Amino acid sequence: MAEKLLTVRNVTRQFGGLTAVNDVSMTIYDNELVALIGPNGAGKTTLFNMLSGLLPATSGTIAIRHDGRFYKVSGKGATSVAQHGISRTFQNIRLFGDMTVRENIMAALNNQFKENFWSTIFHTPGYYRTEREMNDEAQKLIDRYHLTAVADSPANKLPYGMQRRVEIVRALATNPKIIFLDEPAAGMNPEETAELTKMIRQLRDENNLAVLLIEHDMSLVMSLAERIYVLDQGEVLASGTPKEVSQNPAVVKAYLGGDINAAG
Amino acid sequence: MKIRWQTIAIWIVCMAAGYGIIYAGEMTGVVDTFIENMLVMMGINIILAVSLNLIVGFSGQFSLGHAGFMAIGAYATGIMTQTESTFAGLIFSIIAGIVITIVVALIVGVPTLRLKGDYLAIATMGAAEIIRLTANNLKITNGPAGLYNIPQLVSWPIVYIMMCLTIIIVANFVHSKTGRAIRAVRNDELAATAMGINATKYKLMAFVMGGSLAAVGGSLYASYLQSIAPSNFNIMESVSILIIVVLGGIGSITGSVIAAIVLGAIDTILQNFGSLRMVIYAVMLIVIMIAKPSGLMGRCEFSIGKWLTKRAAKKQAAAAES
Repeated sequence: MAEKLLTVRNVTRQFGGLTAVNDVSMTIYDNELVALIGPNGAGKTTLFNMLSGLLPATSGTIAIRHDGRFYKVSGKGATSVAQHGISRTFQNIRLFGDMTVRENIMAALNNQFKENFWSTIFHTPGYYRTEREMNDEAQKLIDRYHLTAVADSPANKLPYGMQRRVEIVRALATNPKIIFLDEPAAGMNPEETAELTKMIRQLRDENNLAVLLIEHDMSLVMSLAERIYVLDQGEVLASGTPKEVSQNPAVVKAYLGGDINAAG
Repeated sequence: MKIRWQTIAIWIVCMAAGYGIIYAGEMTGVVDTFIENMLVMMGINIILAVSLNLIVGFSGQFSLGHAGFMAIGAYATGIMTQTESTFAGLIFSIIAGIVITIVVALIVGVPTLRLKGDYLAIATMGAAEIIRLTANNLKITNGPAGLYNIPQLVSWPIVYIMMCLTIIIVANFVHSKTGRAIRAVRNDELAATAMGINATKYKLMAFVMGGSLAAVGGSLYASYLQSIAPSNFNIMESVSILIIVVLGGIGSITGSVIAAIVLGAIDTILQNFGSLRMVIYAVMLIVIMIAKPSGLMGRCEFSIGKWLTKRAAKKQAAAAES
């Protein structure tokens, strides 16, 4: 049995009078591939933003296992959360536009390297050593995820599908224990989606990390996810294996609307 | 490895050549007091513009308070060298100016750097006004009359050396791990934080660094001109530094250097036109901004290292073909 990695306990988020996420609890284990699905406005992205520290939870706790102990994420800033093994991509790609792919990855490696102030401003041999080490580390990721051809082009000049790949690799560069992917296949054609599916699997298998993804593309979710959480109107409607979830009457109702029998 | 040393060597030769040309001009009498004054002001403007570019261009914080930091340096040097008018006194006063600026920049930066765009500009402008008004009302700064009879301990070689140092420091700073983090924050603060980059820390770092270098510029200004008054450091001074940065290209050190030289030269030439000067100056700025909205250089940099790398790659490709 794999160990618990991320625990979410009774998390609620209110925006004024609107409850976007209501009393959500979930657990993610090491090295797991979990999908979070639900209709538009179900609160998936709000939940993601809370999990990655960009948005404080109104109540409830989120904790991640870090160095053998559980670290409380809720109430901490995004920087601190990211430094404890959580990384993410965004629904609308947010790369560092005018920096090259290599620089994007190296920026994400920031916390894993130390640099001395004086060696920075006078470019002592120590500076060149750090730069070389960071570059080598970035090069490994570039080679492994087939970004060699675009490594030195500005990120905002790349085609859409490639930008998504770069964003995932950038998220990986922070050396996370868990990666959140917010609609990674949005706007992709079937070929790109197939390639992405392969990439996500490779990501999980090679790096010993857990993946939690939001996705509307059901074929991708069903073929990738080992477990699924269904969110509807801010609450967890169902969870389980893809097969269990797809046969759950409440889920079918939320997705197709109307009477369960009518939906088949 | 080889390219690194070649780059450093070429830059040293360039800087020494610049020094040599001015020195030869001084010897032959081509550079008279008037032109020397122009060159020194260009040098100080380069220091101010390059340091402001670090804040505005690289970290993306729109600051309108650069003259405030300049004032701190100027007053530190003005006050201290009046009692200790030696070269050591000057160096010590520059360091004191930097230290005070670091403290002030931290006090100003921590609350204001949470603001964005216009709000930050107004907050920094307010901070600079507070600094100016403080100088206007203190006894030690001699109030609105300002300080005069400051010993002239700064000559053009010192300004030239400090200018080169500033450019080297800023260029090196930008091309480092820290510089990359700062540029990442400018590109997308939210994404940078989600990647574990401490946005506040890096924004503050750029702000403090830029401010300290501006203080050095202020110290040189005070010691060269020998008299300073609070009115030298009003909002117009901040704006005129910003004009250099915008005109040269936000985020281009090369651009700031070129713009400081071009504007300095234009300013000097136009002195013969009397009151028409400001009109011509403004019209020229408007024309340049229409023709090239991103500034003279955009975000491009003149880089010997890159040029050498490209040339080496070409040579290699040619060798592989034959």
